[in-house]
Amino acid sequence: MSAAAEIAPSSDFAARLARWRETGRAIAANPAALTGAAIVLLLALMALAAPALSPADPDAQDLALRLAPPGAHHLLGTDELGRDILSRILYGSRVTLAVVALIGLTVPVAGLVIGCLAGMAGGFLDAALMRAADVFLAFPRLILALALVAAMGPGLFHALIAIGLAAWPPYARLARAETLAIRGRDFIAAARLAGASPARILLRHIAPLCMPSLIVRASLDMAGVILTAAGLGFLGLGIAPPTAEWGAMIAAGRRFMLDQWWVAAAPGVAIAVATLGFNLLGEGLRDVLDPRQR
Amino acid sequence: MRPLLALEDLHAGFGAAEALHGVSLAMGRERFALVGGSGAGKSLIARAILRLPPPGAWMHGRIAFDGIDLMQADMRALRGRRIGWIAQDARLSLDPVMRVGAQIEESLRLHRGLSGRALREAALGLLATVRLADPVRVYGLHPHELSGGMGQRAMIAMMLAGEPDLLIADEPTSALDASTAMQVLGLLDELVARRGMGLLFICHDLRLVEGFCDRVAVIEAGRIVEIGAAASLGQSRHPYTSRLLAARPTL
Amino acid sequence: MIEAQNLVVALGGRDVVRGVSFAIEAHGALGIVGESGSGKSTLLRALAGLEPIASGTLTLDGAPLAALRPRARGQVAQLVFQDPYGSLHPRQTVARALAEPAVVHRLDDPARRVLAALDAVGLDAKFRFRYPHQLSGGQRQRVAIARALMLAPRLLLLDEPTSALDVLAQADLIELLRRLRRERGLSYLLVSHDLAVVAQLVERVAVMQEGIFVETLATAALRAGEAHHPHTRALIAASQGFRRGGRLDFSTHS
Repeated sequence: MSAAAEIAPSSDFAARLARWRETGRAIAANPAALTGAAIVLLLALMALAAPALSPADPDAQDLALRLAPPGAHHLLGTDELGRDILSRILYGSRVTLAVVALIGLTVPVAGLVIGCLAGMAGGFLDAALMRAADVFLAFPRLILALALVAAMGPGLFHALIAIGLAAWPPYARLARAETLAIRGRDFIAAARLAGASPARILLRHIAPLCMPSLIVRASLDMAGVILTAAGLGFLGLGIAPPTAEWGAMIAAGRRFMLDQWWVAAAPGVAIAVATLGFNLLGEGLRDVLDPRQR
Repeated sequence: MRPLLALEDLHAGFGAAEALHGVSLAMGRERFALVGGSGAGKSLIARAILRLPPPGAWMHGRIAFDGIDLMQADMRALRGRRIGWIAQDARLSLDPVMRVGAQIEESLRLHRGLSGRALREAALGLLATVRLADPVRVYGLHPHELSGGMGQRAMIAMMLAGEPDLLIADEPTSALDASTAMQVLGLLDELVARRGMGLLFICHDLRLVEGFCDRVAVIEAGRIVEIGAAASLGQSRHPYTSRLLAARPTL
Repeated sequence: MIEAQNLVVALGGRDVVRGVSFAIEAHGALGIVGESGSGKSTLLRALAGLEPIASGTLTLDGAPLAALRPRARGQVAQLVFQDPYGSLHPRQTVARALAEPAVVHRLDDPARRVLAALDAVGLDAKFRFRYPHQLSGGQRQRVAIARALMLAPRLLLLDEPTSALDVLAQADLIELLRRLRRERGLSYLLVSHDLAVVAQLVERVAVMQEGIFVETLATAALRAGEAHHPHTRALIAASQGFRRGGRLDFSTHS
């Protein structure tokens, strides 16, 4: 315990900062987390800097050069309309990033709210919310997304709603399970004795403890979200052409798979790498944010 | 006479910090206590002997068990069979999804090669040996369904399956209330005497071991500060020992 | 000050406390000793308002305690939990945890009160922004006591406060509890399985077995060996340490 004698942060903020630094160090020491984080950061960079990084206009067609193999002018070749595939990959990452950011920031939060409410309230509200979750959980994600997009029409926004509606139940379940487990702990009883209302206890004491598992889950989930979005794009139900989107690019390249494999392979590899990145990040975070350390 | 267990200049620590600074002790087939406050390094010594260091820990030094160098030996052959171990809370140390009977049978199968009906009978026999009034009932329970005292008895039963020569008991009574603790100690006392086992009893309560153990080693901050007969502890001049003795309230 | 008549508390369909009566006068202290499963912790939690009382009366200065709103109740009696590792929020600094009662009750200057509470339990101000996992067991227990003192309650309910600590930390905590009681005129209701610990802190002891008080006696009488009930005698014998050749109990615990 002698090292502990020197721990004396000067403020609440300083203490929290020290904890973040510890977490950061743990992430850096974990190869999976580090690799995953690197890939995700690369994706973000690609998306944000796409205009600067693209060698060509992603929509510029050059039918004379259609289906050109990878070479000096077009590092990844051109597609069936002569558009530079590299540029389309870079711009396509914007769509992917938008989907990941929007879903990743809203769905887990919605799930957290619903799950915590259910866990805390119990009784009828709990049952009602969980049965609603069961309903949405019963559908395979892509099928549900398909049905919703078919009903509402194609487009990025509708695709997002579709994915979101299918994605929230696991977060609610997770938050509810954590809430139920934490509710009975002594420090929550102490908060009750201090006079805190159930709402305050939920918001300030319970919800923060649910975050680590939700963060891990969200990271792992993003891989699936990317695949679902690409799947929708592949089926022509995602963002409208000619906007570059990885799934749609694979669909278009399907016809040329045997002879001009690069047209479908390039976006395929991009999806695979992005998915891998989120999977690795999620696994690494799970090791680092291990709830047993609490 | 070769000591049953001998530690020579054992150093251990985590990263750059050293937690055990050259611990040496020797014990035979006796009740030997290792006493100190929390964080003194007692559990680390137990883990070092079993060669199961906590994650991130290093250790070096000489540990000899019945002449065998434990730093080089095949520990899997020794753990459970010749060196037994019981911890503070059975509910944390036993497999939570297996019934108690099944876990004892696993130990019996491994160490005595029993099977079939003989296995079940032996398991029930062990549960009776540890003075459980209803061995059949406990046989079918899961660890979390056991009370503190029952859990300790179940762990002792499991440990007896291998018929060890040395038993390491790491704070076995710290989580028990006073009367249950006395019963468990009585059980340990009888088993140790009957089977001629050596007992390494790790504890933070010096007064408890005064009446129970033959010899005591007092450890403070990773160093052994005193070793002596339990009976003469009261006359100890060492400040830490006196502190430990004085700290225990009496009625 | 506090009076209980025939309290019955049920847990999981079973009556765990089966008709308990006692009285604690202002600044007085009562100890409850019993083995695990005797119902003593449940009784304490019911007194704190964490478990519902099935039947019986509980009054404070003559008025029923149940009539008090939870917030007001917290200003009368506070509970110090047994497990120092579980009674503090793992993600909150000491200062944050201590400030909670003050903030909820909208008391002025929570920061100053936090410093005063830490000082009262003998912890240096530098511990303010540590997290629970950066404290020793004894330190965590002191923080738990400091938190209980934040609302200046008249009665401290202590649930085996030293059971999870080693002998040295236990001795320090007993000394602290003695000092606090002297300085603040607190009443204590102390639950423990350890007679010796209880005897250090209270004037009267009630022995609990299977949900009822089998004997109540003054600590002085306990020390003089004037216990009548066999269970009390058994507990006294157990507190005296291990004696080779004593009778071995053949029963299990259910």
